[in-house]
Amino acid sequence: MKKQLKAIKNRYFIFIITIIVTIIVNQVIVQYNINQKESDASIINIAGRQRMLSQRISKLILFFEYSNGQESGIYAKDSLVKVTHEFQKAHIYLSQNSDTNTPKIDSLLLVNEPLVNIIVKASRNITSSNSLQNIGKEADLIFEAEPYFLQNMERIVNAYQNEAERKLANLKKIEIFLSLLSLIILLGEFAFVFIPVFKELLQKNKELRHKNKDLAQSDERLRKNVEELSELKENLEIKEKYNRIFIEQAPTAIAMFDENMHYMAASQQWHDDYDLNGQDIIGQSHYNIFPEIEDSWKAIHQDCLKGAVNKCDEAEITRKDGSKQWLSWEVRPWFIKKNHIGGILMYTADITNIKQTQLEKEKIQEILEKTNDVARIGAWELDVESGMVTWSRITRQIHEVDDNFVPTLDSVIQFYKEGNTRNKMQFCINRAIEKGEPFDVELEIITAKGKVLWTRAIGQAKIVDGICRGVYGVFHDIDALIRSKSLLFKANQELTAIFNSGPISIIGTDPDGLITYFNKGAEEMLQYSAKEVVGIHTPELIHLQKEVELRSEAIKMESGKKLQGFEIFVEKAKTNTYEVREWHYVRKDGSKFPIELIVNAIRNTKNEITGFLGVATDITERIQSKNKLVEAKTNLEILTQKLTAQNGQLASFAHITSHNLRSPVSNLNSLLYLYNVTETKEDKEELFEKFEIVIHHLTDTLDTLVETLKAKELNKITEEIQFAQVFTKTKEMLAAQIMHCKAEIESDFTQVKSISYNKAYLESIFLNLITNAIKYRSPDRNLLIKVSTSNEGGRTKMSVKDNGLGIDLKKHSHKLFGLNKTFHRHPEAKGLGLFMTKNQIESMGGNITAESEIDKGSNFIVTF
Amino acid sequence: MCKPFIICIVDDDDIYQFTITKTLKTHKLARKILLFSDGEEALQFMMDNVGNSAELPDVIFLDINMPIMDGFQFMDEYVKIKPRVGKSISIYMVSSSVDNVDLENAKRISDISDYIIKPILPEQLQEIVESLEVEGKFD
Repeated sequence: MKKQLKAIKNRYFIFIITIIVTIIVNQVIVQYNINQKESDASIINIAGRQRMLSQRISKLILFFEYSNGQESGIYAKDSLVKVTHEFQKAHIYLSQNSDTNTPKIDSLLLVNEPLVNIIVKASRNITSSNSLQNIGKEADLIFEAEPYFLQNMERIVNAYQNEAERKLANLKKIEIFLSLLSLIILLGEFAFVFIPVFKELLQKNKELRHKNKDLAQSDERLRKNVEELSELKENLEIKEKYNRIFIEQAPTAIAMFDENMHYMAASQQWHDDYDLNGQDIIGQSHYNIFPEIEDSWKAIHQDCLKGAVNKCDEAEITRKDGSKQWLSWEVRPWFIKKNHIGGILMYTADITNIKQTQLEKEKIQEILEKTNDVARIGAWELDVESGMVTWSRITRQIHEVDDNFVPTLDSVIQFYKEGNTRNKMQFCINRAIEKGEPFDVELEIITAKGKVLWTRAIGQAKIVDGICRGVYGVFHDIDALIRSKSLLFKANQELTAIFNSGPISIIGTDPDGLITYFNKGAEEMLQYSAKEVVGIHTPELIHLQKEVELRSEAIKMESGKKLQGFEIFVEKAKTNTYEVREWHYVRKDGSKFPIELIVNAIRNTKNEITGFLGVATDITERIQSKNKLVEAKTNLEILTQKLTAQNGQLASFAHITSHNLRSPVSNLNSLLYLYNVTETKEDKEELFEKFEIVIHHLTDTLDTLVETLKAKELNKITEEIQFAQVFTKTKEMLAAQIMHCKAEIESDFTQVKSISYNKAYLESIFLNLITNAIKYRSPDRNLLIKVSTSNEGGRTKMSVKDNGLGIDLKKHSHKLFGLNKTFHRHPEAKGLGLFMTKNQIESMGGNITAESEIDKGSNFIVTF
Repeated sequence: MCKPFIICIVDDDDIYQFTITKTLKTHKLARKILLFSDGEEALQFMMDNVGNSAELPDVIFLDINMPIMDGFQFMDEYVKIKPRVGKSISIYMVSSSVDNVDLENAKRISDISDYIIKPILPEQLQEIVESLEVEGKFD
């Protein structure tokens, strides 16, 4: 590996060096060519300059020639010297620089050589001579050589140029070549360096894969081994666990010890029994855990380790804390192999509970026997096969036989009263034997001493393999019970008879009000059956709820106690008194009736209330007769009122008589007096006229009074009358007057259309009221009368409203409806109409009132 | 020679007016007789002449039952103007009513001199006029 890596490294090294060398070589070659190029360019430049210099020499000579030795000629002479020198130097440089010169150039330079020499010589001659003549000569030489020189020089420059271009082309070729070469080198190097590396890598990869495969295989083998191992371990553990569980979960207290009495295993029960929970006892010495173990026990253990077995069924031991415990135990050795003891097994059982139960049972047995003695309950058993009967002591006592008596089925049956009783007992026994049916019968026996007793025999068949092997049961002396029961029954019957006698409702409740008794009277009165209410309802069911609420309020007012529901009924009874009160009961159908209820508390000997008893009687008839009395009284009162009213009317009638009748009479008296004292005939005639007036007046008044009296004489035949009809009739009667005064009369009888009334009266009322309205109309406006009916508070009302003169009610209200009262200075005001109207209305039980305002109108309102 | 009194009759009864006027004239008991059909007319007259003693009556025979304003209503109003009346006027309540109620009511008014039940006899009138004379109203 290392070697290989080193080889690769070396190769890298070579590769890099080669690249560097190639680059340097390239650079050098290119540089050299560039330098070559530069020198070529300068030579071309110098060659070009040669031409310029030769031409300048010519010019300077010319200038010098023409200057004729003047100042400027001298200056030209100096320049000519310098230029000529330069010209000659350049020519030499070009001739010596032969390494760049091609043979063509060299030959051309050789051609130029004599020409240059001529020019230089001539020029020097010119500068050194002072004669102008010489100058001309020399100048001519130069002018002669110069065109040739220039021509040659041009060829030389061209040759230089061609040479340079050729070299440039060469350079390009070289460069391409070098580039290609470098590329080839690089590729070669690349192959040289990297191919072995790739080869190496491939090789490595292959090796690695191979190794992996080997690894996987060995791994699989390993796993299998582990699996087998764990399975083995699991089996081992399970076995161990089962062993442990066997001991630990054994339902008894078991412990396993080694030879040295060290714990090897112990059951949970062992832990529980010896209060070892939470302690790790395995491996510990038994004697360390229980230091109180006596030496006698240690000796037993040693015996057992030698092969003995120690066993005890029950022993009472006293614990450290003083409590008694009943135990049973067994200690025995265990063997590793035959005759080789490995240790001991210890088994203990706490039988305290069993022992206690046993003791209790014995105690109960004892109590039972005593109870049987007191209650006189004995036992008996019949063995079917032998027909022998076994009696307990009490059974014997009940039968009044001595201990020597040997009961058999036949002899036992003989104790029962002959006839039905005995037959029934025989039947029951037979059924039990044949069909296994149990029995429970109450029958009379005649004891050995001739006493008649009521007894109860309860029997049960003992069935073994479907066959009755025996009958056993109890025998009970129930004579006292039966006798008291029959007495109770009789008393109850009597009581029931009392309760159910007559139409009286008797309802008993518990202290909380729940109905416990509902007698026949209550059932009949209230329509509920006892079943429907007993134990279900309280007496609230049959009470009028409103009444109960009212009573509750009354109690609150009386005593401030806030009572509800049932408490209201028993409020008084609770305080050791009984209460008589009138209520209403509500029947099942919802109808109600008045009752008088007496509520009593039922108390036990300790004077505690154990219930309540409510005795109710229907007082409907009583109430009815009471109502009749009240009605009679009311009628009497109404009669009194009527009489009082009639008295009042009589008084008013007396008043009317005293005034309205006395007035014309007094007038008559006065007139009579005057008549007596008058002497002239004229005066007497005048007086007679007066007499006539008074007599008319008197007659009218009397007529009215008679009418009034008639009205009071109960002439009250009524009939259904349409208001509209009467109204129309009235209008017809007054047609002339209505037309005369252009009165407008409106009517509205939509509210009440008709009335049951005396027809003549109603007509009279209409006539009077409308006539009044017409009579007392205002002269300033057309009369408008509105007649309408209405219903107010159940009474029919009629309003007659006008827009006439009106009456000052403040002054006249009290005599508006009086006889002969007038309020207007009107020719026809006689004061009769309203008086009549009022009388008629009042005689029919109604009244009339008036509302009025002077010069606005009046409204007369009749309430029928 | 007539008595020097002005007698006022307030009554709605034409016949009564006629008879009493006749009687007063026959017995020459009044210098002047004033006739009114109801209390209102009479009160109006009194108010019109409250300061004019010469026109005011010496005696008023006032009926109880009259339309418009009855005797009691007249008295209610008269009491109000009485302090301004410059003359002592005797007022007699006259009625055909024998009703005790009217009688009691009349007695309760102190300004009523007496209560006379119709018909008034000529002797009664004479007595009343004479009693005025005795009081010395006119010497």
